[in-house]
Amino acid sequence: MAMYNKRRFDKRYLFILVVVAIALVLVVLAFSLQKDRDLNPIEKVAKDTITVVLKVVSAPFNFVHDTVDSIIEKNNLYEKYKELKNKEEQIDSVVSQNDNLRDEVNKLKDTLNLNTILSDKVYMNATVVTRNIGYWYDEVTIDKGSKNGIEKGMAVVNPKGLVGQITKVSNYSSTVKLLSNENMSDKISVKIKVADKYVYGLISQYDSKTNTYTVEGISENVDIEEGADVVTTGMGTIFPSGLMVGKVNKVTTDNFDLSKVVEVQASVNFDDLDYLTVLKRKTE
Amino acid sequence: MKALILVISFLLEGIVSNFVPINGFFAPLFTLIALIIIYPLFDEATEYYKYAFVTGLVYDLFYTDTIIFHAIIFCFMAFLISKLNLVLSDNYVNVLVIMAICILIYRIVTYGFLVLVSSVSFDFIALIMSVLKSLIINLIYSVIIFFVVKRFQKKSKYKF
Repeated sequence: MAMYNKRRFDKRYLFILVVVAIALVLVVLAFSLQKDRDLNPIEKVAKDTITVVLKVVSAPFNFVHDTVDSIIEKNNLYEKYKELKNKEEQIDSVVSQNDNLRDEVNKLKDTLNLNTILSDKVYMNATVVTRNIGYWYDEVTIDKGSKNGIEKGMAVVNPKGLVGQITKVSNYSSTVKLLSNENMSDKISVKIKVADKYVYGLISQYDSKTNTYTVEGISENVDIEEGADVVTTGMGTIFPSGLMVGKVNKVTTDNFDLSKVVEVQASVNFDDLDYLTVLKRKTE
Repeated sequence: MKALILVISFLLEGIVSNFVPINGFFAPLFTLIALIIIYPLFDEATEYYKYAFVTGLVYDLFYTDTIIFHAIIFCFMAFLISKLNLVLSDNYVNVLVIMAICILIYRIVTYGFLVLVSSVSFDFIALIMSVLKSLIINLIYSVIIFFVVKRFQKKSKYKF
C-alpha cells in the first residue's frame, strides 16, 4: 500500500514538473527571441569564445575548401579573362562618370546645406563563422563585434545585394538575421524603377522555395517591366537607400484589383554566404 | 571519452554548417546524434541527464542565443533516448531507428514551441522537409561515430 501511494505521488510530481518545464520554456523562448534583446555578459563571453574556437578549428577545412574552389576556377580562366577584358574597356568611362556625379552630388549638398543623404554609408567586411544552426532561426554569426564598431540594427549586404540586419552584438562577434526569415523581411520599404522614375512598395513576405519576395502596396497605375531593379528606399527602416534587393519576376494584382502585387526574385542566394559586408548609415 | 565525443560533435556541427547550403538538403544535428550514440557508455541515468543538460546549455549560449531552451529540450531527448533503449538493443540498425525517431520528435517539439511563441508561422510541409533534410547527413555521421565508439569500447575492454 505504501509503495502504491509513493508511486502515485511520483507521477503527480512528474506531471507538475513537466507543466512547469513547458511554461518555463515558453516564457524563456518568448523572451530570448525578442528582436531587440541585448545579450547578457555571460552570453557575450560565450559567443566570443566560440567564434575564436571555430575560427581556429575550421581553418584547415577552410583551406581545403578554398583550394578546391581555386582549382575549379582555374578551369575556365580564359573565358573569365575575356569577359573581364571586355568589362575593363568600359570601366574607364564609368569611373569618370562616377567621379563627375559624385562631384555634382557634393556641390548640390553644399548648396542645399545638407550634411548627409540617405545613401551615405560606411563599410566593414566580415567572415561568416556559423550558418543557421538550429535550422529555424535563419541567422548567421559573423566574426566582427562591438569592438570593431558594429552596432545593433546595421544593414548587412554581400556583393549581390541586401542580406539582413544585425540583431545581436557581442564584443568580437555578432548575429545577422537573414531576410529569408519571415519576421525580418516584413515591411521593408522598397522602390521599383519604372522608366526614369520610381514606384514605392513594401516587402510583405519571403518564399524560400523560389527565393522570391512579395512586394505589396503599389497603387500607382504604371506598367512595371519584368527585370526592373528593386532597391531599398532608406525610409522608415534603418537600411540605407539604394541597396539592391532583387529584380521583378512577375506582376499581378491583388484580390480586389486595386493595387499591384509584384513578385521579386531575390538577388542574394541565401544558401551561399561566406563573406558579408556590414553597412552603417551616416547620420552626422 | 563521452565528453570528447560530445565536444567534437558540437564543434563539427558549427564547422559543417559553414560548408552546407543554409536551407539546402543537409542540416547537421551532430550534438543530438552524439547524445544518442554515447548513451550505452553511461552507468547512471542522472549522469547522463547532467551531460544532456550541460550540452544543451552550451548549445544555447554558443549557437542559438535561446538561454535555456535547448537545455530542457536535450534533457527531454535524453529521457526519450533512455526509454527507447529499454525496448531496442544496442546495435547499429536500432541506433538508426532511435535516431530517426529522435530527429522527428526534436524537430516537431522545437518547431511546436517556436510556433507557440509565434516566432515562425505554421507550415506543415516546411516541418516535414526539415526532418527529411536532417536525416541524410546525420545518418552518415552516426555511422562514423558509432563504429569509432564501438572500436574504442573493444580496445579498452568495456572499461570506461
